[in-house]
Amino acid sequence: MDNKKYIESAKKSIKKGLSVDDLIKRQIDAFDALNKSENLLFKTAYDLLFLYFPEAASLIKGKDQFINMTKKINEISYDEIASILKIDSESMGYDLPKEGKDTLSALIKEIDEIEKTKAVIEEKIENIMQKEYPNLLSIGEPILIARLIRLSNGVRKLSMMPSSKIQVLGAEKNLFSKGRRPKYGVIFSHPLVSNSKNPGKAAKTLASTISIAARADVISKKDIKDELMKRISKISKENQNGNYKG
Amino acid sequence: MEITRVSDSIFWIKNKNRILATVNLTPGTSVYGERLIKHGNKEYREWNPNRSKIAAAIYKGYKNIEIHSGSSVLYLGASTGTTVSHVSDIIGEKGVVYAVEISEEVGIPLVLLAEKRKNIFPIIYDAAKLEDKKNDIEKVDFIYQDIAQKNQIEIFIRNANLFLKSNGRGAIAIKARSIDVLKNPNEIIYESIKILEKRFKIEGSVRLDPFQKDHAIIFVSNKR
Repeated sequence: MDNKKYIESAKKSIKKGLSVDDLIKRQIDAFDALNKSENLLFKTAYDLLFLYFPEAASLIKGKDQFINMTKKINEISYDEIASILKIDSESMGYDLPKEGKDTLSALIKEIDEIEKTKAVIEEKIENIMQKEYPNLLSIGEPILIARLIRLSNGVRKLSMMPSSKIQVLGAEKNLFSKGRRPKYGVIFSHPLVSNSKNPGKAAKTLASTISIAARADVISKKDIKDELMKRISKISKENQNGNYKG
Repeated sequence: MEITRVSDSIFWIKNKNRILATVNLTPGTSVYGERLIKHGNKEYREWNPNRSKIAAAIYKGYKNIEIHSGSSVLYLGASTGTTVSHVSDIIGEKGVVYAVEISEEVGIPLVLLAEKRKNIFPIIYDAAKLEDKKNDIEKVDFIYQDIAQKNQIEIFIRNANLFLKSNGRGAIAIKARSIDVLKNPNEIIYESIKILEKRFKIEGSVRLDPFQKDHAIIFVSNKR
């Protein structure tokens, strides 16, 4: 007996079974890995800056501000950092090395590279979704949608999910622990939810919208963007009025 | 180095610690990064109990693994082929192992493994719907099932009805947590044995702690 026939047919069914969702999953994994390493590098770079220029470092809060500041700098020196942050260039920190390449500038360059790679991935995900899942893309950021696909293991499964489950995707840990039940999972990163006064309510409506969009993308393949936009605008209206109904 | 035989191609190798190993069918290659041990003119592959449930059962003292050289085996839930490679070692070149796996992504390493080992027959299909693949699978001497499903026992019995020879044997790995999270694992294993008893003769059951938490293997044979 020969197993060649079996290998052939197995290969065929693998080729058939792999879908664009697998590609999206890999992309979002890469994105998360980059995010993780960026955070690590930021921490070390920040600590180094704190050693050299504690006065400046204490003014910087968070990664985004750090990256924004370092984008404006050509070469790291006390004067340049001080002029951007509008503080005195006198420092009690350890003297910045004057000659040769410094670790700090190398780290900052690395963080910048990671930012660029992240942008490439984001664009790639957006391109895929524009082609495959236009309705879903109209609702939110491509990264958020990709994350939902990652957690639900494919758009087909996402479309079959009750919207109450979509609402708490990514919060499984809290879902089964003691205490209060979560009102939102990764969906919270959507500005409509995170900026809302009643994020639980907004998450509920948004999740149902995502559910409808996923079904349209998988099953009917119709363009229902207008209808989705109506629902989204309803959430933002409710957020503004502070009056939540239905 | 001391070598004692457990059954066909399965050996204990004693060298400071006692480790389980199978004779390598494709000498020189390691499948998933396991240790290769050369002794005499044979090469052995370490069989890790933390990664393979059959190995864990042997570590726990169960000896009558009725897979022999030349056996045909139906392996449901083959995954990436870790345990399948050892089964392939045991049955040798004359044996056949049908490795059934549902997930395409996980199936890729399995297919690559099958290209190197001529006795592995990969089938990317749902183990619960093997009726459709009836023409591809001949009757087998041994069925091993390792799928984490709620109705895993039902699936096992159905496949045994379809593919097991009248004097065939089988083993089912039970993951208590995937049947019911809240119940006591012992209770679930006891209930599983009760259900299996109606269809099979129970040869033995092994709890796999501490190698695999809340798991057990139940060995059965066809009632005559």
